[in-house]
Amino acid sequence: MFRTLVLMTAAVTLASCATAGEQTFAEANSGTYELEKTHAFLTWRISHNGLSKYTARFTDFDATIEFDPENPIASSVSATINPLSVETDHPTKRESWNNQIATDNKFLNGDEFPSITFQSTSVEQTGEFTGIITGNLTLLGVTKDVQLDATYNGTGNAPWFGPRDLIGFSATATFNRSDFGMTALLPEIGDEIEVTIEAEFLEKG
Amino acid sequence: MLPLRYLLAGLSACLLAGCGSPADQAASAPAPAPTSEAQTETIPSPAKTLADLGVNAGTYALDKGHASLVWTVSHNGLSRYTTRFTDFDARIELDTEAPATSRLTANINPLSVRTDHPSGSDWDMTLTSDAKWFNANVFPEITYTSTGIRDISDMSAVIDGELSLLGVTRPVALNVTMNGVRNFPWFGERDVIGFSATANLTRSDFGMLALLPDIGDEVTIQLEVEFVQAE
Repeated sequence: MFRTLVLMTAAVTLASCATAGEQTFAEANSGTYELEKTHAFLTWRISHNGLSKYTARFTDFDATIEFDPENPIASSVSATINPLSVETDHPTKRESWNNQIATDNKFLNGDEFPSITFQSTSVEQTGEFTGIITGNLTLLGVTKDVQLDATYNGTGNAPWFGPRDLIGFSATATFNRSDFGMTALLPEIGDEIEVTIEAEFLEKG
Repeated sequence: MLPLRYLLAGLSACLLAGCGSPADQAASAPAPAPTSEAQTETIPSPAKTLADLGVNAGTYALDKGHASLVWTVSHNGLSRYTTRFTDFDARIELDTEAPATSRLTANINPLSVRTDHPSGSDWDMTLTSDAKWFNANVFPEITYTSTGIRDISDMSAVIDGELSLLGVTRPVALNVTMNGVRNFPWFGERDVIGFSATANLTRSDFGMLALLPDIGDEVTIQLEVEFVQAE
């Protein structure tokens, strides 16, 4: 029974059967939006020996947006990532490899630094629905400016969320891990980390 | 126990690290833009070829520890639902003298969809097994077979091929960049080669119509893959 319920919920969350998202600020409510975690993806890539971009992700993160659709550059975002939630899908030693990336003090050192955080400090609009979000990324206890290249994909509604709006974003960022003191295996494992974010946010009820 | 753990840790660091010679990335760097008319008239340097790189011809098998297959699909126009297959294999027959005659075959286990849904793995099971989605109990394999290679320039090419999904076979092209070739002590003379590739396909072409158009018809695929020359 419970399993069926979960399946139905999952089917509904992907399905949405909702009003299609519309890329407009006019239809979106202002206020606080929280990450809709069933539609939120944070992928990162890093050069491996110059041969491929090693591709992994964090599966546990949260974010809040203070959204001002009338003056988008007055919006702000804060996010928290659990470094222990690294997922590599390694084919033969997935758990130990995930754990090593997450906790080894050469890498994310997640036991000592249990959260990675981002707090925006300014937003610059670059197009009708695009902008650069500058903020403080704190990783391994080091805080540096990082820029998110963001696109506002629009707003929509879903019956099960009532009048609460959904808003969706795509964003990318690149930064150097050495800026945060993570220098292990340079340059075989690249310095530059590419982050790709696809995320929806639900207006706080 | 402890030594084994450390050995594994060291080995995995090595696998991720490479611990080898720098990749021949210079070959993949674009030629500098001409700065004057005179320069535009000079004969351009010949395109790099696989032979120039010193890549061995032969059979290459996917290095599954360095292979990623991510796909995305529009969710309600608000975000691109991002997920991947975690179990797939591929093989290249590389002809360095006549690259266009090289061949690629791949197979994907549809049961290996991973979404990281916060509620757990039931959603993965639905996507893999439901008749509306990958229907893996009826179609336990997705396959790709190249039919030709075109638009070869420097380190990029387009691979044409046939994708079989849900019992339907349709052409799908891969836009491929070869990132380089390297050697590692533990592989001896065997070359390791790496590629990035993208593809788009229309899921309705394969009969997957569920929840159109809220869930988009166009699926984008991003591949980051390394291959090791067979012994």
